[in-house]
Amino acid sequence: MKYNLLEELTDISAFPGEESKIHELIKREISGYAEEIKSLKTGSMFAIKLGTPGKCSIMLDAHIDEVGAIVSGITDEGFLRMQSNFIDPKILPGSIVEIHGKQEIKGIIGIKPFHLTHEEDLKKAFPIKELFIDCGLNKKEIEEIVSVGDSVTFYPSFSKINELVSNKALDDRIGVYVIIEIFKRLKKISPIMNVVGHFASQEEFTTFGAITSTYVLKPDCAVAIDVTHGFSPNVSKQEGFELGKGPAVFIGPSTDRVINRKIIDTSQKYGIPLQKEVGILSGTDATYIQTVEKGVPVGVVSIPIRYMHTPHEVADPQDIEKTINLLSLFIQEIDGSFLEALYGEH
Amino acid sequence: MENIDFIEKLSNAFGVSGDEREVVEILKEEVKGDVESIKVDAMGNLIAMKGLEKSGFKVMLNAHMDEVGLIVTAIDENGFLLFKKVGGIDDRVLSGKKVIVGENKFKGIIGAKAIHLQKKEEIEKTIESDYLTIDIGAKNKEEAEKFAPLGSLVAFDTKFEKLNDKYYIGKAFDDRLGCSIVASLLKYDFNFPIIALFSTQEEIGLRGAVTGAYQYTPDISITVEGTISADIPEVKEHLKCSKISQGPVITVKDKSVITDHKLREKLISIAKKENIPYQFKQVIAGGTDSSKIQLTKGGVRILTVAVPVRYIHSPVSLFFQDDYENTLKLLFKFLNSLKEENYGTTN
Repeated sequence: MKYNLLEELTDISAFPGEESKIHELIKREISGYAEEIKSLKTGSMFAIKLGTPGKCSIMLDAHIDEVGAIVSGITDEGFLRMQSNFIDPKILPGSIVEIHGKQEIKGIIGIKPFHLTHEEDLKKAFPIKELFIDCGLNKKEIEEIVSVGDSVTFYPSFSKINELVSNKALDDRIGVYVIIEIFKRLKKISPIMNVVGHFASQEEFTTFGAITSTYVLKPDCAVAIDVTHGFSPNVSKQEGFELGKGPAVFIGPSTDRVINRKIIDTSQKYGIPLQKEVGILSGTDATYIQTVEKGVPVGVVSIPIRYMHTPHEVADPQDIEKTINLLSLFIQEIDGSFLEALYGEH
Repeated sequence: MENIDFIEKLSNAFGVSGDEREVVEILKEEVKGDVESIKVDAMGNLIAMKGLEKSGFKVMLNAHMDEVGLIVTAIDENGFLLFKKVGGIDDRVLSGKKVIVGENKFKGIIGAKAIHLQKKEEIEKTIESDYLTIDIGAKNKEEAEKFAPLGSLVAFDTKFEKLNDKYYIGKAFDDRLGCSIVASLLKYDFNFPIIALFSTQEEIGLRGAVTGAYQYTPDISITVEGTISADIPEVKEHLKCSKISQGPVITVKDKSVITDHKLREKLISIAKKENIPYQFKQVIAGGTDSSKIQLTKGGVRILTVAVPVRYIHSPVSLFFQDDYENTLKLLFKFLNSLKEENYGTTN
């Protein structure tokens, strides 16, 4: 697997509502492989590859926003206060962030030195309201660049960890990467359905992008490609999936059983390892795409990552490759009988 | 700033207490043209000397090469590394950080459980370092043992950077800033012999300086540090210890030592004469090599002077260029003013 594109995709910062920053890169990558590419006022964008005969369409969805915080105040000394409901404040002390003001600036989240901290206080986790960002600027200087309401994201730092990869925002630029790579293969596949690549805004917040684009694009079915929790110490094998053992298909009321069957059959036919994630509602765009208008049959294929919503999420490139293979073959396998079964069910 | 490339190299170097070899090499390379003798002793200390033919009192310039970090103590059945802390680190800065592991320099992540999987009471509770693990992407225990054998030292993986105009961020400013200042002072000739002691294992009990000072005992010793600056929100004015941009920090008393009154008065008079800002370390906290050097043989007159640094002992700290330059300048002017009759071996 070539890492360059995944690195580029994860290095860009796009807090919910600021997704247009990433559109240009997606356009550059996908433009040779789609008949139509469009950015929407919602911050989402989509690309369409027409199928033959292309009477129906399948939407592949991945979200382009990422977690972060919002500047909620500036202290007299020039430190920034922040709020967030996406991230665990425990990971913030000692980390580097990017503040998206009039220009992008870096800041660090420091805490009182160890030497001056009472022993009983060492056990107390900081709530986010007690933390602050230090940009090395005084109040006057920082107010020229940063205002309350500006967004804050983790500072990118792409790494290879042995054979694994790590950066912020693998959730869900991995999904974006998968869709781009599938588009590059569509010409060879010549699917019978139109394939819509949807790059959704604000998944981390309200799934605004997925809901509104589904209304606009009216796909006949959809598959969300997102991340799920990987196994690691403190995360049991019930809670997380082992890395390197392939993507996970979500099985439960918020996904469609015909789509699930097809994904599972495809994996078995081609010998692609696939794990099963069982739950009620998947925490992805698909749950919300499903209930737009008269309803959309949806599936979810997730790549396991460790340490979700932290500056150093970790994924196995082999799982990413397997997901690209699986979903490309899934599209290739779509035939009349699948469509019949799909609509027969509804 | 003149020294910035050198500081960058030192800050990025791996040098957790017990393996300061990379820092030794950088410093050796930097000072070799300026000194007459370079030695590395059994503790790993680097000792560089110049002006040895000069008579009279000897002055030691001291900075420690080591930094705080972690050490691999066990490997779990899935290949994740368990560790202990090397030196004083607040458990709360560890979660979700990138690290460099062992002699093979493997990249690793101190994994943090996703917020989605935490119960409310977990979110509000600090995770003690004994319950954290390092992920080096090993496929199993055997592979992890090969990549990071027990005893591997672990440093924060933080790259030195300019934050803005005059602020810099990076790791290990405590005490690579001191190392760079001492190395810079070696470029000048003074009227007395200089012993530069770049010490090891300061963070685990001021250990290297003990043998260094015993072998090369000076009359006067100045320890140059990167010290605590807690000029951050919610810290009371008198507890800030020192403040960024207020100049070199002069220690009167810390947890381990009372500095030499006569020398300190001289240092302050030089600062005033040269219009160099300075501040006193205002909280009796921390200890430095100077406390061990002071107790060597029949006793050594000592001073401790430091660049104020925010967030020391964490993955990323910050310093202000003027503070660094003023510390270097103050020490240079001070050394130039030292005279045998006032500060020599007899009084």
